[in-house]
Amino acid sequence: MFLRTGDDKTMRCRDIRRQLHPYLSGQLTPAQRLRVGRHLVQCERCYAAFQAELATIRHLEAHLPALGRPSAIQLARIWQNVKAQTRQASARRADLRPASALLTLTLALVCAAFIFRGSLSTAVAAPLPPLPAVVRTTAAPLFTETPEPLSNVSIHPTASLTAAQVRLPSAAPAPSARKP
Amino acid sequence: MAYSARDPSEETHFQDLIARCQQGDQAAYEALYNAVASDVYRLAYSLLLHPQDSEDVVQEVMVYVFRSLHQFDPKRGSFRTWLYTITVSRCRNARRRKWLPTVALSSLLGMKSEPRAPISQSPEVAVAWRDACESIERALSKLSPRLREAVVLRYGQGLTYREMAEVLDCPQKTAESRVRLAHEALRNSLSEVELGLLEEFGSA
Repeated sequence: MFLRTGDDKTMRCRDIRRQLHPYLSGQLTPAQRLRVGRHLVQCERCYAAFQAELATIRHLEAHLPALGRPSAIQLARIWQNVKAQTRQASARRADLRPASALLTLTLALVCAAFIFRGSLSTAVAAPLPPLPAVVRTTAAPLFTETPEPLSNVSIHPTASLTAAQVRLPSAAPAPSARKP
Repeated sequence: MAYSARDPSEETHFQDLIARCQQGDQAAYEALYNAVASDVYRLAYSLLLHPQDSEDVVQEVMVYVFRSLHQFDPKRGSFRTWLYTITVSRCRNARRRKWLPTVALSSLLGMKSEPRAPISQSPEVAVAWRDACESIERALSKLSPRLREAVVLRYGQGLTYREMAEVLDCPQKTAESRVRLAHEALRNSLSEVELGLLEEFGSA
């Protein structure tokens, strides 16, 4: 029982400490604020954590706005650079204006030429012949006759020659022994 | 001076200047620069912790703002929110470009910008002020970039959580939790001595 109570208290303290920042920033509901406030009155440790949180906020609010405050010289130097850069950019834009106008005009002319050429070729071109409405398929075979017997087919005389009848060149004579 | 984003007169003043700028009034450009440049520099410096990089970022931001004034839509948010969104974005780019480590390069290279003490303070107070600023800067340098952005916008520029969410492009709850996490980290990194110093200076 005692242990359970201690655990509950630890849980509650952890929960309350998590709510300290929202409590100080005014982000809690009235009921939540009341709960945190009641706990802080009773718990010394949480009250110490609350004090530390409050001190941190005060320090940050007091010192962070002063961190890195620039000098007048720095600001004047940056302003000169900003002015120079802005002028350069506007001068560059002004320089580019005639060039970009010329480019636009050229592109427009090219596009117009293409469009004009396209419409002209469409007008001159002959219309395609209309397709036949019905395309008839022919059922008749291309070859109606029966094939002729091979005996009837006249073959060229040279085709009947056998290998024996073909006069082949005689074999080369055996090499005779050389006389010394 | 922390800016109150809910100041309607300032927003009206900006609208007037923007309208004059769009008509080509050169004096209006300078007036607009004078009105915001210091805050833009402070924001850039708090995020980058490097004077030269911060100057470069301010220059980039102001040139971009002057060129893009026609894109600013007052219905979508205040001029400050728009300006800070651009600044945070440029700082992220600068960090990515130079791969700035999370520790302050300025402290490594000895290029520290002198924190400016309030005018007409005694030398002791000026020294205490500088020490306090340095301790805050050291603590900030240990934060991750996201947490640093959150805490700087909240306390350095005085934005509300809703405005922070707009600038950081995240839900409001995310902005709140980033500030809470930054608090915890800062409380841990600011030593007891530094907290005592800050406390002493704060009460002075």
